[in-house]
Amino acid sequence: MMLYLCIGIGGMLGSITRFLLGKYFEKKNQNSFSWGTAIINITGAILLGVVTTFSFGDSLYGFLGEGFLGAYTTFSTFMYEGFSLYKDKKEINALLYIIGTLIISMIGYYLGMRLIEIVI
Amino acid sequence: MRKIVFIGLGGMFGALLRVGLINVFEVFNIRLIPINILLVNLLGCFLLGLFFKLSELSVSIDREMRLGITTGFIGALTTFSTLCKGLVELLLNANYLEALIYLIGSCLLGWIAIVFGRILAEKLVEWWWILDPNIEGITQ
Repeated sequence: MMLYLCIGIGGMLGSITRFLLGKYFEKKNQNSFSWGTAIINITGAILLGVVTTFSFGDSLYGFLGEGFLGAYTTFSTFMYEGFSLYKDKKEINALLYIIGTLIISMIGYYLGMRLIEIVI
Repeated sequence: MRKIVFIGLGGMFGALLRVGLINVFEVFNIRLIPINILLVNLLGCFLLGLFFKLSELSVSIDREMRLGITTGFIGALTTFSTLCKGLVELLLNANYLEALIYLIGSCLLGWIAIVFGRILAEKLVEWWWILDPNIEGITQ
């Protein structure tokens, strides 16, 4: 029960953070493609690398990892943005956006993980 | 403020449903590939395609409610960080083929799920229109 409470609250805070950050990035560059989702997903991946490596207890991992970071990052919006680029006849940008975000995020997750391994 | 409440509530239920479904779908996992996470992400892509297309077709859904469903619920249901975690873990354990299948499967099927969601939205609007041509909120 406690675990689900942690996941629920984490998910709530993660979604709100994603929304507010997304809005902030949208305001910053109104004319060009918004990098909000990419920045959110990349930072979320780095942080999950950090959180996973710390090997917290179930409740804290539920709150930070599964709840907050799981909800903070989003796959559906990410794919939909790629799809929208493609629909706007920017096929190359769509491909670069999807592959680029994935590769940078995987490197980010790895670096987050290694950083904590070195520190501990 | 109402927006934040809707997004927060949606995010809470989305995250809980994600964890629940990941547990239920665990039986589908084969050869170290986390099919459960892939399925949850696909479900989210399908739902997002459906809802965005419905709003494109001017089906009136309260703005705050829509943000709660899309940004809150569906956004939290799907997860990008767990996908990256799974990919890096597969790569570090030298399961390159599994990583490639997981990566390409997520992107390709996610794309297809969005398209299916959009098609269903169009069909739904058509059916509604046939049932009741005077239905409010549909301009096309």
